[in-house]
Order: sequence, then structure tokens, then C-alpha cells
Amino acid sequence: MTLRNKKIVLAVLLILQLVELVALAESLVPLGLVVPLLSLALLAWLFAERHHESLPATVDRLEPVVVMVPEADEPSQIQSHSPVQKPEIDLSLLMEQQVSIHLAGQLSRLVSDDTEKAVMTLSNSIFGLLQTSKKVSLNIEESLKTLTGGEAGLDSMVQHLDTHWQAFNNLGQNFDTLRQALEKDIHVLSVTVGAINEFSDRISDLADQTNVLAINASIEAARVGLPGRGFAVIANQVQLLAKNSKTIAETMAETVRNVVSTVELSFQRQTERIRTSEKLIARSEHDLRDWSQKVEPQVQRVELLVNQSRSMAELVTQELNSVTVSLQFQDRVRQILEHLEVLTRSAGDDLANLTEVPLSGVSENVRMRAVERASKLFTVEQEWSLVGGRRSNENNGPRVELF
Amino acid sequence: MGKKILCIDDSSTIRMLVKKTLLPLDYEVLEAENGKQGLEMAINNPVDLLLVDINMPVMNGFECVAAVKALPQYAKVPMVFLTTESSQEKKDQGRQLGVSGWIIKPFEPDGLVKILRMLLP
Repeated sequence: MTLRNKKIVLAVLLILQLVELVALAESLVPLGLVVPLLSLALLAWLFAERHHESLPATVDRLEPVVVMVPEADEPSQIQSHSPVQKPEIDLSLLMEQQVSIHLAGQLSRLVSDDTEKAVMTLSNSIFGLLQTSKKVSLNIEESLKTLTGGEAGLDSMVQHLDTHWQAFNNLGQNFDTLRQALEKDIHVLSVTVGAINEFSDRISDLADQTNVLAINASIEAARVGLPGRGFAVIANQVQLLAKNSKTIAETMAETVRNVVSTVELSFQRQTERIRTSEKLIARSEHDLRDWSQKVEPQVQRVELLVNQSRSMAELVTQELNSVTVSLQFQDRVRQILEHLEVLTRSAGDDLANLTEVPLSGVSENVRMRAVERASKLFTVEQEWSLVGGRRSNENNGPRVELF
Repeated sequence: MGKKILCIDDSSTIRMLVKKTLLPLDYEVLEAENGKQGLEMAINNPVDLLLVDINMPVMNGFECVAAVKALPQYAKVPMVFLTTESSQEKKDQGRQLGVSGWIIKPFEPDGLVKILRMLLP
């Protein structure tokens, strides 16, 4: 083995370790299992080489005489034609590694492609969610603003309710004042009617006294005789006058009583109406106040919802920042895997140069050995697809099944 | 459509993230996957700002910016490096080329938008 080839093997080892590191960091199970196996195989091979003899000496001595065994169905060997030493290198193992490295490169490509697809899909979903969230938040904000603002909004309604409540309050006070004034007027009317009744009684008394006086005057005129006739006539007239005066006084008193009765009844009715109105106003005022008090917390709740909606949109935007950063880290992993694939391919080419057998020239037996060793670790369908698909059909059932 | 941004990056993911970040803000985003393609697009489609990666195949970001800056119509067009590079040496190199800003990947959408709004008020 030449120093150059030794370097190639070491480079392959380094690449495999890098692949393993990335695989472990990203929890890529298939790579995380395949890579250590390949590394161990190479290390074992190197270890075996080192125990034969020192590397430079072996390399110098073997290089001119190494030939490849043409038949690759059985484990091939590199044989020395030197008559003195015939160290053997298992060429088939090298070719198996060639296949394994090729598989590792394909796996890198697989993970890289899948990562890219996943990042794209995730990005589309996340940004789609963000846009939807922003739209929903905006709609909520606008709807709630419409609900609370404007002429028909809750804020305006609360103000209207307060205004109406104030108007009802004033109306109630006005009715109260009106009722008090009415009651005062009723009292004044009552006093006035009392005075009129008193006057009427006094007139009636005066009429009675005048009547008595007229009767006495008639008696005295009769006693005087003929000369008193004229006086008797006057006395009769006075008596008639007294009767008329009394009738007028009684009629007046009766009329006043009727008027007072009507007015009092009217006043009572008005007072009753005013009281009923006052009660209605008081109830409406209470209802308005009640509504106002009920609506006000709703308005505050709506305002709170608007603020919460705004905060949620801001939070989503902040989260998007970290998601975007994470997606870029995923993209870095994808790029590293792409680089690893290139390096792996290069190492595979170097191994092909070393064995002087291109990958396509590796025998089916050797290829199958490498595939079998790698496929023991396969867990996902895509890995099987790299080696021509799973041999058994054990996964052909439904994805979800109840037994 | 608003201002036109040309994003030159070999990573389709980065280009997509830039696009997704800027489209809702009414920016128009053109994409190129290497410096050469970016230069051709800049010539054929006048843009208001260039977001350029540094490490790209075919033509790297420095070469691309130098070439675009040499075009008379782009003498005053702002250009920003969007890159994983963060060394002072590279930044000085960018400053000498006349770029307006430097964003280190991974970038946050808010940071990107903030810089764009400053450069394209």
C-alpha cells in the first residue's frame, strides 16, 4: 500500500467521521449506524496492515508487484510475485469498502435531498401559517375596531346610553319639580276655595240676618198700621233681596264646590300620571344604567381581545425569526452533507484507482456483501431504494391498522 | 409591486426564506443561484438592491459585486452581503468594494427587513 493510498484511506476515515458527527448531531439514524461500521472496517484493515510491517517499507515493496486477482466471485487477493515475500491484501475487502463508500455517498445525497425538501415544505408551512395568522389577527382587530368604534360601535353606544340616562335623569327631575308645583297649586287652590266658602257662608249669614231684619221690619210696619204700609213694602223687598242673596251665595258655594271637585280630581289624575311617568322614567333610567354597566365591561373585553390579538401576531413574528434561523441551520447541514457526498465520491474514485476496478466492475458477490452489511442497518424505505428495494414485502400493509 | 431585490445565493433555501420574508412586505424578489447568473440578471432586470452570498460556485460574491458595481447604472445601488463569513478581513474587503451592509447567516427576518428599510426608505 503506497503512502498516497494510505492517505486516501485516512481521508476516507476522516470523511466518515465527519459524516458520523453530522449524523449524530442531526439524529440521522441510518448514517449514524452505517458510518461507524465502515470506519471500523477501514480501521481493522489499517490495523492489519500495520501488523504486517512498517507502512513505507511495505508500500515500497508491494507497489510494483501488486496485481489484481481476475476472478472476483471469491474473496480476491493481491498477490506478490516476489519469490521472497508474498504479503496478501484482501482486494475484495477494498472493493467492498468501495461499494460501502459509494453507498455512504448516496445516503448523504438522500439525506441532503430529503433535508432540502423538508426545509422547503416546513418553510412554506411556517410562512403560510404566519400569513394566515397575520390575516386573522388583522381581521380580528378590524372587526373589533368596527364593533367598538364608529357611530354604531360599542363605545358610541355606551356614550349614547350615558347621554340618554342623563336625559332621563333630567326628565325625572323635571317631572318631580312639576309634581311638586302641582301639589303646591292644589294647596293654593284649596286655601282659596276655603276662603271663597268662608265668604259664601258669611254672605249666607248676612242674608239670613237681613231676612230676620226684614221680617222684624214687616212686623213693626204692621203694628204702625196704614202709615207703615210703605215701610212694609220695603221690608218685603229687603226680605226678597236677602233670599236672593242667600240663593246666590249658596249657588256660588255650590259652583265653587263643583269647580274645586273637578279641579281636585284633575289634579289628582295629573299627579297620578306624573307619578306613573316618574316611575317609568326611573325604571328606564335604571335599565339604561344597567345596560351601560353591562356594555362597558364588554367594551373593555373587546379592547383586551384586540390587544391580545396584536400581541399574538407579534409573538408569531418573533417565533418566525427563530424558526427561520433554525431552517438555515438545517440548510447548513444539507450543504455539509452535499460536501460530504462530493468528498465521499472523491474517496470512492481514489479507492477505484487503488483497486484499479471501477465501481461498475465490482463483482456482484462483493457488491452484495457490502449491501447486505449496510442493509442490516437500514430502517427507512428510502435506504432500501438505494440498493434496489427491500427484498421482503413485509411493509406492504396499510399504514394504520386496527387488529 | 414595490422595490425590486435581487437575491444571489446558491442555497435555494436561503433564496426561498428571503423571498418569503420580503414578498408580504411588497418587495419584489428576483433570484440567482450564483454570481454569474446574478450579474446577468442585474444587467437584464434593473433592481433596487442586491443581496449577495459570498461563497458560491461559478462566480463568488466578491467578484459578482465588483462586476455589478462596475456597471454605471449600479454605481449607487445598495448591495448587501448575506453570508456565513464574519471575519473582519472579509468585511473590509466588502467595504472596499463599496457594499452598504453585511448580514451574517443565519439571518433573522426582522434584521433583514430592518436593513432593507434603512437602505430603501
